[in-house]
Amino acid sequence: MNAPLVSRLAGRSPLLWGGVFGLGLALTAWLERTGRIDWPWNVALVAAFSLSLFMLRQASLNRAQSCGIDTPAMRSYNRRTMIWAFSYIAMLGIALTVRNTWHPPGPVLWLLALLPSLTIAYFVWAMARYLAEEDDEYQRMRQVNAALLATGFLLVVASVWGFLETFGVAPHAEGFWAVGVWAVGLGLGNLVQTLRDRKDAEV
Amino acid sequence: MKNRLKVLRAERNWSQQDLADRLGVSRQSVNAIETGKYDPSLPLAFRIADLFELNIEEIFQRD
Repeated sequence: MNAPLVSRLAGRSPLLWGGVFGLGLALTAWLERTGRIDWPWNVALVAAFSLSLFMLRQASLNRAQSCGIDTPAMRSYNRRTMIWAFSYIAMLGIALTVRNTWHPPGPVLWLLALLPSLTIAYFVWAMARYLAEEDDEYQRMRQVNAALLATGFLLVVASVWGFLETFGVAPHAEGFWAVGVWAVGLGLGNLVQTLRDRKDAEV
Repeated sequence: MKNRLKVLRAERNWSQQDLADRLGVSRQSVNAIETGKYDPSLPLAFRIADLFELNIEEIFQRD
């Protein structure tokens, strides 16, 4: 993608671009669930919204540099999360396309279903690698705090949704949404810490 | 825990980024230690003490 255009659009608000991507995925899921779109338009929509990830990466880099949190481990982590995001979309697209075009038999279906989940395992590995590679103990502590908050957020959301589903007042949610909810919790965790830092600075 | 990091840094005319580069940490981490939001681990406290050629207790004191 054109680098100066990405730089101009990126600004200094990773939250905005993360929101665009997250809302794009949620919108696609809602359109699909309500029968308004089907394959291949669902994959096309996700691919279109994934373009916001270029801006998200640039905005994250800008913010990291301006806030003085630009560590080598963080740069590696950002690179790996980009690889994960595009691999996930690619694998999901391939799996859905093969399933809907050639209607393969059972064993192949198993492999197709596992393709996107392999990339989620890569995302979990990337997070673990970040914590292992980060030499800056303060940054590592912040990310561990954010990860704990994200885990708590996921447990609460999953439990609440599970009970709503059991009582028949919410639709079924597939298990793969867990990673998305956890990622939102991670963003919230970082936001809470940033707001707390600002509040402390004002005292 | 309180510390004299800001004074020691000012005496050497170092910015937070200068100190961060010398310690191999981020500027935000130096800021967090200076303002008392974060107490460094013993290994990092020793690195800071070595850098300023002082003992740890000459930089960090109990509140």
